[in-house]
Parts: sequence; C-alpha cells; structure tokens
Amino acid sequence: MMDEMDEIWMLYADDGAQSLDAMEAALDALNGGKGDMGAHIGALFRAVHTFKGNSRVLGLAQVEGLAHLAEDLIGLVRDEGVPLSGEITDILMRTGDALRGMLEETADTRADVEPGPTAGLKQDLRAMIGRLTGRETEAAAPAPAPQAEGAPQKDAMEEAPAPAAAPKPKVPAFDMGLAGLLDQLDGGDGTDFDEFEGDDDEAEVADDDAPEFEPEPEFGEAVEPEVVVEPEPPLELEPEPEPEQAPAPQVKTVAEVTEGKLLAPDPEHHKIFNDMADKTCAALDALIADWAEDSSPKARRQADNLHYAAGQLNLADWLALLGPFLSADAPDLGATRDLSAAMRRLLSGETEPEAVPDALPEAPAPDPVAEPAPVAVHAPEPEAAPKPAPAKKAVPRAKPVVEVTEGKLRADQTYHQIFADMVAKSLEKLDALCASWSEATSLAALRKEADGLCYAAQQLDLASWVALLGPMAEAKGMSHAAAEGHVAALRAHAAQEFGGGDAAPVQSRGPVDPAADGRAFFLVMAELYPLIAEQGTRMSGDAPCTVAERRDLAERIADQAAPRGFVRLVDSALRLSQEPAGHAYRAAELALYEELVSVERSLPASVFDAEMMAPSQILGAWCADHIFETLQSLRKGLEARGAEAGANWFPAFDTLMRQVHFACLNYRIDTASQLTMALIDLFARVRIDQKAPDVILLQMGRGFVDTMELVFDALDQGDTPDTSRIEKMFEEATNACFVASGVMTAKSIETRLGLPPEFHRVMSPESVKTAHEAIREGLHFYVLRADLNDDDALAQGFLEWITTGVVRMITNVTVFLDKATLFDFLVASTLEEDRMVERLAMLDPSGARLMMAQALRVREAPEVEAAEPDSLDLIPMSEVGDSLALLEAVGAISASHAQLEHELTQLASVDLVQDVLEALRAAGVGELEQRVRSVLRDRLEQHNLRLQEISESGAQLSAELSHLQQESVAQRSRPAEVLLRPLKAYVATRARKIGVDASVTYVGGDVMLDQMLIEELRGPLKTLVNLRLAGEYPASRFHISVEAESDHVRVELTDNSPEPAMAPAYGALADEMARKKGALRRVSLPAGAGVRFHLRVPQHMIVLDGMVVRVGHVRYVLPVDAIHRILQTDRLLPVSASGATRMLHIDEGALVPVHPLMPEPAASSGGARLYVVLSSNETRIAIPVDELLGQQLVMLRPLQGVLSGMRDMSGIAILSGGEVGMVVAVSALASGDARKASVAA
Amino acid sequence: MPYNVMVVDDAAMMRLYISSFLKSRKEFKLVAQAANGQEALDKLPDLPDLDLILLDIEMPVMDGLEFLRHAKLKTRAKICMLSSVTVQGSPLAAKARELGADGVVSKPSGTVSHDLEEKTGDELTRVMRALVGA
Repeated sequence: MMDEMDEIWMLYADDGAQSLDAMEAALDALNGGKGDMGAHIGALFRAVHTFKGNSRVLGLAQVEGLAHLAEDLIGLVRDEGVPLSGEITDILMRTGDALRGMLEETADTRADVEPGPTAGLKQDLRAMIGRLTGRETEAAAPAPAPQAEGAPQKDAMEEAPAPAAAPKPKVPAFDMGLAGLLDQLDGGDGTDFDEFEGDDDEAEVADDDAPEFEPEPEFGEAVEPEVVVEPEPPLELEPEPEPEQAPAPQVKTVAEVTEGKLLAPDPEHHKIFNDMADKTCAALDALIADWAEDSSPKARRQADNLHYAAGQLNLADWLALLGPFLSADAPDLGATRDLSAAMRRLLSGETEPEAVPDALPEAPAPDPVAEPAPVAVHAPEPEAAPKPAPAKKAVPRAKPVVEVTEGKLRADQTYHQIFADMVAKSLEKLDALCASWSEATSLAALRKEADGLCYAAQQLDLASWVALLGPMAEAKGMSHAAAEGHVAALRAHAAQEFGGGDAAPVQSRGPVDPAADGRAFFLVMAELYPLIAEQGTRMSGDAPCTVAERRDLAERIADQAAPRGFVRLVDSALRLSQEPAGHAYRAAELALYEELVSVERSLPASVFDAEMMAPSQILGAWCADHIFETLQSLRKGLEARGAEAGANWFPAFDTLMRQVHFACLNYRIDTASQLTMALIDLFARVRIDQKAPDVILLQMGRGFVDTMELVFDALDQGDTPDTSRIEKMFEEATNACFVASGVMTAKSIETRLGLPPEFHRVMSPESVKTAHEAIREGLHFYVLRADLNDDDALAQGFLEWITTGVVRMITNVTVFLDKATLFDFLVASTLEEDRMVERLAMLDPSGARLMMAQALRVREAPEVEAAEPDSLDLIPMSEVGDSLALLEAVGAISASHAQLEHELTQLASVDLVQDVLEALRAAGVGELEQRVRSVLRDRLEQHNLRLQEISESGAQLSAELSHLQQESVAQRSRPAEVLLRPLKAYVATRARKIGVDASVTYVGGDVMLDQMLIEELRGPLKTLVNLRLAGEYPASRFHISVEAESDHVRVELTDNSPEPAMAPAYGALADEMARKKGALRRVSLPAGAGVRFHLRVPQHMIVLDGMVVRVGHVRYVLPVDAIHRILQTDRLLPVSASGATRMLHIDEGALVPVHPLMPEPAASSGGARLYVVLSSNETRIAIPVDELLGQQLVMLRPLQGVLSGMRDMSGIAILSGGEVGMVVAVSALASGDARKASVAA
Repeated sequence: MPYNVMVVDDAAMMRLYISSFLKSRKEFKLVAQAANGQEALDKLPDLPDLDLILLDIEMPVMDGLEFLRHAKLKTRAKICMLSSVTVQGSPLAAKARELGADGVVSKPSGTVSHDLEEKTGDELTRVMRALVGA
C-alpha cells in the first residue's frame, strides 16, 4: 500500500509530465504561427508555472530554479510586450527538454538534481532575460533582430554573431556615459532604490553633495496641488540594429566594455560606482532587516545591477565578489548578508582578511565532556573547514564554508553552543578592554574581537549578531562610553539569545539588566545628540547637510537601535536622512526624538541622572527653544481653517502641537501638556471623519494658542504663568464630544444615578444619551456583575438578553477582582428589582457568574440641579465654542427684558386709584361712597404695591442679565497682548529671514479687544510690517500703541525707516480697511525719521450703555458716555461759509455744529427742537432728535452686507421689543464735523 | 493581500465581536489575538508581518498603555486603541496619543460593546484603512 509520500511523488510525476506536454504543445503552436498566439503564450506560461510550483512543493530547488527562469522569460513576452522570437522559443524548447530530464530523475530518486548539467542553460536564460530587460551581463548573448510576432526566427538566430562580437543593443546608453548608464540601471528596474531610499536616487547619483530638496510650505500656507508623479512607462526595448549596421566605430561591444577599455580609467566613474555600491549595500541591508519571500529576487537584482557596472569598469574584485552570489538561483538571507558585509569591507578599503577565529574551523570537535559528540552526518570534515587564502577578500573566505556545509552548519546546535562560548569569552575580553580603555590601542583590539565574532555569526547565519557586531568591527573611532555601550548591548543580546540554562556560558553573568543596557544605549546616543542638533541647524539654514552626511548619521543611530530591535527608531533615523529641508525635516527630527523618548519610557527613571540627560529633556528644550515660532505657525494654520489648507493640514498641526506638548513638559506644565494631546485627539478624530474641523474646535485651538502664548511669555520673562485657564480648557476638551453631540455631560448622569466612580471613564456621548432617554422613560437602573470570559454560552445568552428590549445596556466597565476579570454592566429596564433578580437566576442558576451588584435610585432633577445644575454644563460650551450666536441671543433677551421692565415700571408708577376715580367721573358716575372708595383704594394700592415689587425684581433680573451679557462679551475679549506679542516674534522672524535686525516695542497690551477685532487688526499690521521690512531701507524699529474708544480701536504703528510709504500696496490696504468700516492713514515723520500709520477699526461685540432716540421712524443709539447734555432749544446759528451747516448755541459763546442723522425737512428748521450734544476728544456735535426713548444696555454688532457701507455708524443693536437701532459712531461723526467746523471757522 | 491584524482585548466576547467585524472586511485578516498586553508582547516576535494592532486599555497583567510603551519599540505595526475609556479628548485618549498610539477609537457602549459594528463600524474602518494606508 502506498503511503502518502508515494502518492505525492506519483502525482508530481504525472502532473509534471502533463505540464511539460502542454509546454511542448504550446511551443509547437507558437512556432507554427497558427491560432491565437496570446492563448498559446498563456498556456505556455501556465504549464511552466504549474511545473515550477510542483517542484517547489517538493523542495526541488534546482528544478524550480530552471522553471522559474523559463517562467520569467515567458512572462516578458506575455506581460511586457517583448516580441516572441525564434531565439526565445528555441531556448524554451531546450528548457523543456531539460525539465523533462529533471522530472524523470527527480521522480526516480526523490531528490533534487545536481546543478551542474543545467548551469549553462540557466546562464543562457538569465542572459537573455537580462538583454530583453536592458540588464545585460558580460555573458549576454546577442540580441535578436526585430521581427514580427510569432514569426519563426530560428535561422536568423543561428546566424547571429558570437557573443564576443555582438553589438551592444543599448547603444544610446553608451552615449550617456557611465553615469547615465548607471542611472538607467537604477531606474530601469523601477523602484528598487526608491523602495529603500525614497525619491532621491537620481539626484544622489548625480550629485551626492548637493542639497537636493526645496523647503516645504509652512503649516497653513497655501499648498499647491500635489504633483502626482506618473509611473514611468515600462522600459521599452530599443530598436535593435541590424547585425551588419551595428558595429559603428563609436559603439563598444560588451566584451570591450568588460575589458575596461572604455570606462575604467576615469576616476569619476569609480566615484560613481562606489556610490552605487554604497546604495546597493543599503538596499541589501534593508532587505536583510525585513527579509521576506520576495527578498531573494530583489537582492539578486541589486547585485546584478552592480555586477554589470563592475563589468563596465572591469573591477575584478567586485566581479569576483558578486559573481558567485549571482550564480545562485535564489540567494538566501545568509548569502545576502555575507555579500553585504563583504561589499562594505571592500568599500572601506580592506584588502586583507582578518585572521579567521580559532574556534570556528575547529568547531566540529567541541568539548566531549560538556556536550555529546556532534552528529556525524552534520559535522563537516576538518579539511572542509574554511582555509582562506591570504590574497582573497573578506567574503570569499566565507564562501567555502557555505558551499561545503550547504547550510548544515547553520542548523547545527553544536556550533551554536560553540558560538555561545565564543561570545562569553569575547565578553570577558571586552570587559577587560573597557576597564583599562586606551584611546590608542583599545579600539583595534575591540574591532578584532568583534570581527572574529562577526565572522562566526555570519557562518551561522545569525543575523542579529551580525547586525550587532558589524558596526563594532568596522568602527573607525569610538569613545570609551560608546565602547561600553556596545559591550552592554552585546551582553544583553547574549542573555536574550542564549536563554537562561546553565549550558549557556554567557548566562552565568546573570540576567540582562535592562537599565544597564538602556544606559549603555543612551551613552552612545549622547555622543550623537550634538550631531543631530547640528544637522538640524544646518538643515534649517543656508548650508544643509549633504545626503552622505545625513545617511552617515542615520546609520550611526540605526547601528545602535537595530540590535536592540528598536525598529521604529531605525525607521525614524532613516527618515531623518531622507526628508527635505523645511517642515518635513522638522517633523522627522521630532519623530526621531519622540522615538528616543519611547525608549526612555520603557526604562526605569534611574537610568538617567545629572550626568546623562534623558531624551525627553533634550526634546523639551528643543521644543521650548522654538516655541514662539511653533505657536505662530499653529495660529497661522488655525486661521487657514484646516480643510482649506489641504491634505497636509493635520500632520502639520499634529507636529506643531507635539512640539508644544514637549515644550510644556520642559516647563513641567503638566495640564498644558495633557491639553495639547487632548486637542490632538479631538482634531485627529475629526480628521479621520474627513470633515473640516468645526468652529468649536478651531476656536478651542485658537484659544489654546492665545493662552499658551501668554503662558510662555510669562515663563520667558521669569514670571509664574497663570495656568487656571489651561485647566479649564482641559476640562472643556474632555467634554467637547458631549457638547458637540448636543447631550448633557457624563457628570450629570453620573450624579443623577449615583453611579460608582469607575463608570466615569466609560461614559460616552452614546451612553449618556441612552441613559438620559431611559431616565425620561422612568426605567429602573441596575449594575449587573458578570463573569463571562470562561463561559461562552452564558456570555452569549446574557449579551443576547440585554439587547432584546427588556433590558437596555447603557455601558459596561471592566472590574479586576484578584486574578479574575469581571464586567459591571449598567443597564436600564422596566423590570422591578425582584423580577430582575429572577431573570438573572434564569440565565445563571448558579448565581456565581451573574449577579445584581447594585440597584440604582434615580435622583430627581431638581435634587441634582441644586447640587450641580445641568445648565452649568453649557457654560463651557459658550466659552469654547463660537459664542457669537449665543451672545447675540443673550443680547436680544436682555433688550426684550429691558422693554418689559420699562413697561412694568410705567404701569407701577400709575396711581391706579386716581386713574379709576377719574375714569368713573368721566363716565358720569357720581361720587362713590367713602366706604366704597376706601375698599377700592385699599385693593388698588395693594395691586400697585405688588406691581412695584415685581418691577423691582425685574430691575434686579435686568441687572443680572446685563452682567451676564457683559461677562459673555468679556469671555470673547482678549488683551491686545495676544496680538502684539506674536507680532513682535513675527517681525523678528521676518527680519531674520531677510538678513536684518528689527525690534518691536508696544504700549496698550492690556487693552481688552474682542477676538473678531483682533483678527481684523492682525492682517493689516502684518502687511504693514512686511512692507516696511521689504523696502530698500528696511525699518529696524517699530513701535505700536493700542487704544480703545467707546466705538472703535485705534492703533498706531511707527517705524524708523526713512522710506516714504508710497507703494500701491499701502493704498490697497487703506481701501480694504475702509471697506470694513475702518481707516488707515500714513504720516511721514519730519526729517525722514520714519512713518506713522494710524489704523482705526470699529469696535465689535461690546456692550454699550446707550440712549435710544428716535429720529423720524429710525431708532438710534447714542453712547451714554459720549452725551454731553440734552437740551431743547431753538438757538440755531446758520453758518453760510460752510454750506448748510448750522451751529447750536448751547452756552454763553459756545457753538456746536448741528449734525442731523438724516436729512431734515426745511420746515423743521424753525422752532424749539430736542438736541443731544455729544462729545468726542474735545469736539462736540449736536444731534437733533424727535424723541428720547430711554437708556438701555445694548450689544453692538458689526455692520454687515449692504449696511457695511454706512458712514458714521459703528454698528447695529437689537433694542427692546425687537427693533433694530443704529449705533452712532460718535468719533467719526465728530471728526467729520470738526473738519467742517474748521473749514467754517 | 489583506492586512494582518492582531486584537488585544481581555473580554472574550469583545474579541469575538471584533473578529466578526474584521471578517466582513476583506482587506483585513485577523492573524492573532491576545487577552492582555503581556500575551500580545510575547506574540510580537512571531508576527513580523503584522500591520495593525487593535488594542484595548483596561486589561489584567499588562494594560494597553504599558503594552503600547513596549510595542512601539518592537513593531512597525500601527497601533490603534480601541477602548471604552478613550472618549475623545479625555485624559486617557490624550495619554494614548502621547505614548504614540497611531489611532484612537472609542468603543460605543463600554468594555463589551456589542454594537461596535453598528455604531462605530464605519469610523473604525476608516481609521484602520488610514493607518495601514489602504
């Protein structure tokens, strides 16, 4: 009876034969040129593919390798548009024959075939594939002439010239020189270098020392649409020359090239080659670090490229190194590692191999006492051990071992034990070296020790050891501390690798101490910090580092990180070497430091002391140094409102916020550091929903920046910052999702239900909403404890039950009880407590896994509100959100209330008794009896008294409303500091960028301004300072003063540049400000001392104590502060010299210009009239009005739309009763009339 | 090729829900599960091709934040917190971001959220896709 393996081999033989039959049939069809050629090619490919797969399953590497090559070749015809030629079909026929022979042999022997007999065929296949893809090797065969698809070309092929005399098919490549050729090799394969080294491949090859990147746009700047790099089209085969035309004089043959006649003498070519080799090493290392199924062909392709280039330059040592590697069908991880190490040695100029370590060649004879004798079949014969010839390079010495042992050495535990012994001995030696470290001699000894171990590790395919030891063996310089770091890392790795048994010699030194290893790591890193900092400085300056310099630093970091498995640190180091200058580099720098902080967080705090700074300290200081620039960039980005600023908005925001976070940590402002992360979280979640940050978030962000500017400014001045606002903001951030969801906060539900505190953390907006609804429905609340992890059936039953409708799940929380993990479910149900217990018992009769933990009592709302009103939850929302709408609502309510109060007061002031008696008299009712009058008077007086009481309460409420209104406005207000200080930093930064010095002083930083006004001033001020800095004579000093008037804010900006402000841009800015109801004037100071700019912006969102007046049908509000007096008079004096201007005679000799708010009919010019005299800056004007409607607190709102063009009005206000009143801009009115009066005088 | 995902959650039912959630999204494949951070950490070396970790926070033995500290050093897989205690903007969400969580999603109804798919499914899918670059 056949066993399973018999069946498999029989199946292999049958399937293989069928596949090869199919292959042969397809080839015949193709040669015949009949039928659907595409279908024939497809059938051919499938046949070979199936055969290859079967071979691989049975581990027949040689068979699989040949089939693989054939498949690759067919793939070129099927997928890459390579025309089918007779040469191709012929070689495939040969391959089919060879495969058939292999099939018979392997099916018979059940073992792989020897590689020798088919080596030539494989080489031919590779050469052909190389030619067809533009990747010829020196063994390349001549290219076939172009031909029609499917046409038999066997004869033509047979007539092709011999390889040595063949014309090089890629003629144009030679015209490019080697650099171009190498570039083509790099790029021709698509993305090999790109894959590991970003997008800089060509630039690096062409000019390794040139800074290659343009700075990226800053956060918030307009981002150009991203340029999408189209994938390059597949490399098209050049039209190949006819044989008789090809050997033009300037065209070199492959043979000539490989003889070095063309290119080898040029030193520039060698430089380029070395660079290419360096890149190849890096690419191989990347493959080694992340070895995968497809790594082998990639490694081979890398080596193949370099091999070709070496051939062009006739570099025998490189050819000798790469050739054997390429001879393997599928180089494995070990071979790739060997190659990389050898290439690096060759690159570093080492020509003589170090002495082979003693232990390894003698390895087959370990101590017979300690260990059983090695298994004979695996132990290599002593004479088969490597005996490197002195003249050979490093890798060739390793090759014989690999070839002889064919990988068995790597699998032999005996060798691993020997290696462990070697490590232990080496560690002792290295400890001794470190203990008596001498700069002069110790490094060489350390390198030698490391090199010996490294070699052994290579032999055993111990990747992690090679990665650890390689840098030590190749170190060109090393401090004592760095050496200690390396040794500690080695020891830690030994402990990790060799486990805890007694047999592991290194373990005798005790378990690895993470703290010691961590300290060792950071000791080495400490040497690199200055280099990282220097590179950062250079990358932000005019002389950025070269690619090679950056790569070198990245490798030094990676050398430390890789052996310890810090993969993300390795990645971030690599990223640091790749990102362009500007924001991207800054982000990479931050990422690197953050990864180091991650390492720090995994270690005990004791690792760091006064002598060694923790990376978090370095990062904190780095971020603190740049904090004002960071905040400025943040503000800019937030002003750009996120979504409009492009896809890069959030990453830039994230980077900047993280910098603020670490700056906060630097100053130990923990709440602020948490707040930054909370805000990142809020913005990140919005971002993932692909929504633009809403106004609440943006406002929160801006408020954060404002606050942090003040905080850091205080710290900068050595003051203690006020952090109370930060704590409040953090609480708001925590509640933001509840506010955004329109539900009450978790706290209110927790209070009403008396929830255990552990539920606090799991109350989501969803849970709160569900709970709130359940409370409204009058459901009962319970906490049910469940032990579900070990009883799937119960878990399933319980979870189904709580979703049926009888019970509604609010939320649940994990409870750790001793070693058990339980869950407390907060549920709501119509069931009374006893019924609930019954239902639980039905689900879990044992009562052990499911029980009632608590029945909750829902507290009445007033009871809760007395303790903590729900309405309080809304207060933060008004603070953090865009409070404008809410503020307007408060204003409207306040105004309406004022109207009611007014009516009530009027009603209360009426003498009702008198009023009623008069009414009775008027109706002809006679005098009432005294008794009736007494009762009536008594009742009406009581009523009047009640009315007065209500009126007084109303007045009190009105005062509270006014206070609330003022508070609301105050919450929108910020000191002018938040405008001026960033402007100061902005000027300094701008000046630095253009290479000058400039400073800013200011007064009025404590003037409170509405945020909207701050925003309106920010742009013009920036524009002005930019203009004044960009002139031929840039200003070096600016002085700013800020003053707030009742209806506008005045800002003066004075500089010391003698250059007059004549550019059109100033005019444009003035026009823009005028459109917004503001003004900009320019005044040149005497003797070229500078220019002063006067900016005026109308006040927004202020609460105004106003006198409401009526003129015609329009209501106006006159600021009470500006009212000089109110009078009724006819003492008008016309002034003929000033048009229709009239003057009002108010005192002895005092004349005030009359300014009607609307055109008056001529008839109204005579007779007594009511006037309100207003005063502004010593100027007075008289406003004729029809009626005084009373004093009110009103909220001034900016004029918008068509109203924005109105002159002499600063805004509108909603009045009591809902009417709209125009708020008079007294200063504008006065200044205009002052001019007229001046003219009149 | 689907992206490989490991789920770390101490609640067996939750692992089941997440597993079911992943099954309905063909671009993701559940390759490993762990009931706490230590168990997950032990599995990491055997999962070199891991793309994503969905990580709970409150777990016995080693909680999610502690795991995050260590895993951030040892794996390139993206780590997405999926927890009931990471309500947006909350201190724990902020802490997770600080420790380097690549994404944070809140469970909608507590530790064992049977309504994960219904209420958070879209958001979780978007986050997962964004993290792995799908």
